[in-house]
Amino acid sequence: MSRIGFKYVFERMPELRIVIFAGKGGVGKTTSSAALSYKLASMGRRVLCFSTDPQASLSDIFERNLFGKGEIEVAPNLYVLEIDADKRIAEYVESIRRKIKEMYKIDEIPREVEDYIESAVAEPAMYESAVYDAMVDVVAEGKYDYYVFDMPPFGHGIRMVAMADILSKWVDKIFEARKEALELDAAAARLKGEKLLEYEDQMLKELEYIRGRIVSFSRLITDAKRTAFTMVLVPERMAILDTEKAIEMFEELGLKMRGVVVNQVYPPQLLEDPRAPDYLKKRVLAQRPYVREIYEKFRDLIVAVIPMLNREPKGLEAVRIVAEELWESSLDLGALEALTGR
Amino acid sequence: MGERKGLGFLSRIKDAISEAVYGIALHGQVASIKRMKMYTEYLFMLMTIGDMMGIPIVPPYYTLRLLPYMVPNIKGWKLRMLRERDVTDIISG
Amino acid sequence: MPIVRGGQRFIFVGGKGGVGKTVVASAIALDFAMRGEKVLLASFNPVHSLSTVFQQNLSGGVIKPVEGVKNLYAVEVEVEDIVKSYKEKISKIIREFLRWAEIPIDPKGFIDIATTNPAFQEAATFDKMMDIVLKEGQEYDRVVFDTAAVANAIRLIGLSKIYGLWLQRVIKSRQEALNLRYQLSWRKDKVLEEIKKDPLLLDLLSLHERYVKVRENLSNPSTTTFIFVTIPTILAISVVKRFSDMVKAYDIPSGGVVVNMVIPRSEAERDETGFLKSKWEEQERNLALIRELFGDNILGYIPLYPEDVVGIKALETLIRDLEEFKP
Repeated sequence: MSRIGFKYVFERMPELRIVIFAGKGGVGKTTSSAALSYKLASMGRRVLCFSTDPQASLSDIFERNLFGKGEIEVAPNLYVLEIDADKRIAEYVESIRRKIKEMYKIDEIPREVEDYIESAVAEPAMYESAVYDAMVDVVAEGKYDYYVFDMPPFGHGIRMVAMADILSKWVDKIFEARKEALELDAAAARLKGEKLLEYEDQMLKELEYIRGRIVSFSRLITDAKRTAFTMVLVPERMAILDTEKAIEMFEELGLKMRGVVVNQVYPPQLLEDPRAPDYLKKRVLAQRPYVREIYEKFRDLIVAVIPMLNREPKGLEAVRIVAEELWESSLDLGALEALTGR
Repeated sequence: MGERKGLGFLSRIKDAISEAVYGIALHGQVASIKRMKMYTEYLFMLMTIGDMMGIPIVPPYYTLRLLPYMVPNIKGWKLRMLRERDVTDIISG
Repeated sequence: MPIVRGGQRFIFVGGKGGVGKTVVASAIALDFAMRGEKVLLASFNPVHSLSTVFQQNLSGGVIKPVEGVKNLYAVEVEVEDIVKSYKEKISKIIREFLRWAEIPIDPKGFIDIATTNPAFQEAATFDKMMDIVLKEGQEYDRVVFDTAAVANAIRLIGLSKIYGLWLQRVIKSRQEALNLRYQLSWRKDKVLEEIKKDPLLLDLLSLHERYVKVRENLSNPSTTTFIFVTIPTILAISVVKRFSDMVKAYDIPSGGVVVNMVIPRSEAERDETGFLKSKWEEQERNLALIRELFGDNILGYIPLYPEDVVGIKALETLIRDLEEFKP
């Protein structure tokens, strides 16, 4: 079947709920996230477009200030969440302070605890952890039919995934250690012939809560039926090489790529057009070997092809155009094959 | 009657002694389990908020959520971790 | 005249993804090398691309000379071995601590927890950067840093500020802990001796010293500069604007802006399909915006080439265009 587009993906995968767009910076991840969200929302589904990119590009694309403003409805059914991680960290820290004051009925936090809290934010992975925690939260709340995630651009989002992996391992280990510690209490009680009454270890409860959320999130993300992990790339040498490296690194972390979106492909008609200058034709031709390479390497995975637009993908109108291409690509596999000059 | 009473008395004493002995042994076992629990608790704190004691373990994000539960134990934890082993500790093993 | 004129030794190159940072950083490095300076080009991108740009194998985390260019060296930074040494160090510290405190529990499970730390990766990257600033900084005339993306670069550098705060607190905690230990002890002289030689504290203090030296270098406008690369699209420009404020907030000296991928007017005029024309018109508006925002700080413009910039010849062309090309 030569026709491509996310329409066919959703037809093939009726349980699909989450689409993740990853890729090198500047290849159109954010634009694709915005466009797919727009399309799904326009079909009457409640969609959350979640950006983890600190460069606040969704605000630029939707031409509204969305950064750090929570879940904003930018079109009917279309909600956008552009995380301000620094703000979220500050709120998190404040909530911990409040909790301590409430639990122990004090007005002031003991100095050494306050010192500790203040510099805990220096933790180098705090930023990514806060973003990850927000992702877990938002999915756990389950308010949406679809979630579209735009991954951070640095390292294709690999660092984020690697960090999340380590963080969840840490939670696991701490949880186990805590449970073991409680075994000792149980042992002591048994010896005394006492029943260990509903022993409440609040820390364990807290850990159970954190761990539970992380586990269900991981299960969802790695479930091939419910999550489509997609790489976006452009027909350029560096982009292709980077993509291959990134795919390897993601697989090592347990995330298998389900699809590839090829962006910024020059419409083939330009070559036929006698009015097109040499400069433009050269660019179109220069792109061809890379289109061929992508076709050869990723053919079975190509989900959509987005043509090179003659304007920036800014504003709802531009988003709508990209959305149509993403949903049902005008350049299908047959056209790609032709482009490769076979 | 006297023998009966004697036997009963003896057995009661035996019971009382064995209870006491049992109690002491039991107490020792429970105490040592409780001590293990304390070590485990303190070790747990070392791994999560160890940098409060100058051990450069940078705390992961979720450590802050555990912090409130550890607050009352911090002083005791520091004292135990830092004080030199003294005579009473060595005796009680 | 070289592309970067302030005489700074450390040059960071940042910008939105896809604007050509790696290529511009490589060009800046090549520029200096061709003028006879000894240059190190360091990539901190988790997915390295220096090898692609120079068409040779520069991977492996060690400094390699770039073939075809005298005086130019490159490294695609790897941090796995640093992460490993962190784990070993923490492991050792914890074991010693437990031995000293006479806690009779097998610490293996707990050490596992302490060494499963998502911060290690980023801390290791920062550590490596400190290494390069302090060591290679002395051995090379220039060090050009290719960073993964603006936010990352700034966090990498800005991290030094909060990292310093954390370090200070840990040192203070250690000193207080040692003080408490002293007070609780009944063999004060002996304990005092041990405290003076406390390896953990000495370690922390020397780490702090390193950090202070790095901060001094990075916030000094005569030793460090931060160059932004942008393309004439609103998306890229707004990123530069947003982050040049952040750069100032972290006391990092901000150098100029390089505008990349500019469609030459002559080509747009020749295009009768209208395809390039509308792009060019949008571009003109954006260039005006760039001039308004960055005015005198624009270091130069680079045209949008028909093909990828790959290889030394192409980089040489780019350097020349940066000097001469006007949109």
